Amino acid sequence: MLLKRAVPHAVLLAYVAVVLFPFVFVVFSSLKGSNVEIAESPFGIPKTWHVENYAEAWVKAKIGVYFFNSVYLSFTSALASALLAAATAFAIVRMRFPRAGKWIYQTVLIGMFIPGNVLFIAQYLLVMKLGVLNTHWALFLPYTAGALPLGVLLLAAFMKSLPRELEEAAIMDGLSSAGLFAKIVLPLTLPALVTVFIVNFLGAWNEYLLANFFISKDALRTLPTGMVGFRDAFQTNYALICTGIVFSVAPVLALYAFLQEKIIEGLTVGSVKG
Amino acid sequence: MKHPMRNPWIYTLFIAPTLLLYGLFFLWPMLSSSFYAFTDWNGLENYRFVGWSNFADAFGDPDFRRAIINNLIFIGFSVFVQIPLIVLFALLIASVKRLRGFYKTTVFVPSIVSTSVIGILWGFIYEPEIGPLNRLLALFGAGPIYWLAEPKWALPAVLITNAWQWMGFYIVLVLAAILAIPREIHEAAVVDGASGWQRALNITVPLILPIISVVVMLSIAGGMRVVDIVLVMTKGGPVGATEVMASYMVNEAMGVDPNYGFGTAIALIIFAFALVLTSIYQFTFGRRMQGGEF
Amino acid sequence: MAAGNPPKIFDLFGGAGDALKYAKAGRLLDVTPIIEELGIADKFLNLSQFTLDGKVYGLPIGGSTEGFFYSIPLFEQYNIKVPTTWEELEAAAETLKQNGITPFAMGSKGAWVPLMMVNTLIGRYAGPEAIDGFPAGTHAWNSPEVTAAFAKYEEWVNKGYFTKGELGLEYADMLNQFVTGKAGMMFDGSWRSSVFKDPEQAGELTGKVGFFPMPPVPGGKGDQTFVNGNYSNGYGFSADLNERELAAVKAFIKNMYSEEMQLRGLLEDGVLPSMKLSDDAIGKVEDPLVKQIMETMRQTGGAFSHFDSTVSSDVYKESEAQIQKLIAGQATAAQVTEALQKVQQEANAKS
Repeated sequence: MLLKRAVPHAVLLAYVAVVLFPFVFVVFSSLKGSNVEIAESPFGIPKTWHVENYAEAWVKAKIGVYFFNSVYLSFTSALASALLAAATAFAIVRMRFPRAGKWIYQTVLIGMFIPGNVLFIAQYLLVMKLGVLNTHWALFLPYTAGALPLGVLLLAAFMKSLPRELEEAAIMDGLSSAGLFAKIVLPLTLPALVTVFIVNFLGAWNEYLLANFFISKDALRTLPTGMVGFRDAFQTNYALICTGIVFSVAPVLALYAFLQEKIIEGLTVGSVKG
Repeated sequence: MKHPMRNPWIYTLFIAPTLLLYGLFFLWPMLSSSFYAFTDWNGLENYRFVGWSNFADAFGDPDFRRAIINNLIFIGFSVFVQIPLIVLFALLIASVKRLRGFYKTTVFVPSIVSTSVIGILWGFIYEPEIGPLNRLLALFGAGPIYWLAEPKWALPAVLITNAWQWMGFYIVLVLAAILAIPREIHEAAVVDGASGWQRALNITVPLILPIISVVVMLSIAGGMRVVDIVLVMTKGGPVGATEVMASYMVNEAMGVDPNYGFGTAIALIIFAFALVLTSIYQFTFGRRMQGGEF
Repeated sequence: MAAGNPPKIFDLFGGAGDALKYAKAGRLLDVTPIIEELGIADKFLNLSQFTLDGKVYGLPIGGSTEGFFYSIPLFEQYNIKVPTTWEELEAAAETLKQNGITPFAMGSKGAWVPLMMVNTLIGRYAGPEAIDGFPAGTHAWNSPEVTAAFAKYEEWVNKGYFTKGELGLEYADMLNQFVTGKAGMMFDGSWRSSVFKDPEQAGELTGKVGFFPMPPVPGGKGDQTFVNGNYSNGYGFSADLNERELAAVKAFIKNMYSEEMQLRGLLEDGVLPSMKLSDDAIGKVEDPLVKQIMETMRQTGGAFSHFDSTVSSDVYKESEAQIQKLIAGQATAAQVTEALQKVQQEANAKS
């Protein structure tokens, strides 16, 4: 009986081990002193903890620069798209222009169906024409735009469920629609807003394709591109590369540790609805 | 007096930026792609209209045909290998009482990490001389496999890495659906004497067919979208063994001698494939699995 | 460049795929009057990569040659003398192989790396004129001589003379193979010489590296003492300049293309000069490796370019795809050269 109970756990624990081993490997390797040590005992605890690898990587890989760029770009585009999506969702769902609303909703929905890389080249040419290639705008604009369909979708669904009485009471009190939005609806939508923000933040943080080709100035690069460049430059110093990986992944994991429910919910619900 | 909720100024203000950004970065690129695909623009000189020749060239190039097949392999692998495993693991997690939260949280982790970082990470794991995978093989006496350097191993290696990254995501998705099945149904079956497996096969799986259908569609879309992992791990090599349509497109359009006309043609081909495959699925199995309604 | 707003002065790579393409599109400044005015027009060793219709559109800042670097310790250990004939080269490779050392380090993930050796092999088997002959239509890729060059490369691949798993290794890995003693020789460009002075990059092999050019090939056509000489890395200037900017460009050229700067590049980075230097200046070189390289250049009958600066990008891209196929065993030398000639003919017909 116990054995029967144990079997699913055994299988699942084995799977979890497969899922986690690369992370364990990377952390251990990042603290090792040489490639030889990594080769001999991949999962062994490092003999001495070479914490200086982290300092070295920070400097050599200019992780500080890439990290800052990623944070600032992800944060601003996630915030911008969340707010814009909220405003649009509010307008479509609550304001009384039903036909226009429906039409806008459908248009925005189409965006969910276009695979990411189909627009890549055309967006590149567009960014070139706008003259913002190789600036942060080149990423900020597509990231914000790209996050809008999902944001509008999720926020519209949420806002639909807000009771009409609130609106009516606020209007009786003399609030304009903008005031209603800012003072009442927005605060109420906060949970959904946070979810949308996090999902967009993660999307921008992890994005590689556009970040790689739209920005070539090193000082403006984001983490994904920076890491690949680091890997290409320091091919043979594996400990250093692992340190770089830890730097890139740690913030995401930290975010996940605190907000896992929100993150899981946001990412999965979005996919289903879309 | 106009009702505040009918205020056209606010309405416009609230939707204009969104529509502007969206139009600029979604609709306009769709349109311009459709235009450039019929030219041979390389960014420098004036372009000429070349009709369908970009498309003809693409399909005529054996490397591109291989890329198409590789995309299909990705999709096939996702649907026929990953999905059964996903359902299995989801069922297992749903069947245990303890540690459920732990399992759910841990398997989901790889899907939130950047694909490019995962590419670097696994590139390291596959490293022929120092990587842990070959060290493991050495324990069993198997020779070092040059995972990413040999044409016959490179694609399986990338497929495995891709699976590792995304399976957790789908497992959690399916798990949510399984847990949403009303308990009474299972309890009734238990009363009727159904075993765990019988319940799983005859009750749970049929009831979660809609979500599995979603997973299939997402897998198709994902299989067409694959590009980051390939670019970072192998750049499409060796000798095109891991080239997918999107990486082919990127290499052609952004290489030393860019051909934007050709590149956008490929982008449209990718889009068309995605549409066609999804439609085929929808009209054959999709309808049945979803009960005819989406 | 393609973005439409290039800086006024920029790095420019010579040849049909880059400089000459932009020159044709009218984006580059014609510097012929400037260099004539400054009196340096005939001091350049080779301007062909930047010259279109008799006008010069860019100036090479340095030159390079491609040949064999070898590990002095390994050669001593196995009693190998520096090859001056083809038989000696192949014997050296065989000796290394027998002793478990990879003869030639290689990382072919980036196809341009193996193409360096291929280029010089073509120069040996088919003669120096072949390199310029492909786009001119006077030489064919699928001629017996060029095919023989690829066949020799194929032979070495089959004999296991190159690093195992090379298709997964980058250019930096090739260096790593060489400096960690896993390989005894490495065919690379002279620009690598500065690496071997630096213990951080060269490790145990610092200061213990020598250089020799590819020996004459038995039955090879043309002058077998020619070596590869690339004068393709340089600067270009925007055609769109106002008075002030033009003056700045002139000053730039005057300062950059002086004996002093050329010598500095040579002494500090091992970059071969693109201009003629006085013997006095040459005498200042102390690094033995650089001296060896310069001695090689001095003893040759002449130089041939790398085909990556003579053929159009279609052909070059095809050569990248084909060499990897050859290495992976998916194509024979004959198939490779047939494919290349096909693309070359199409390219020639277009221009």
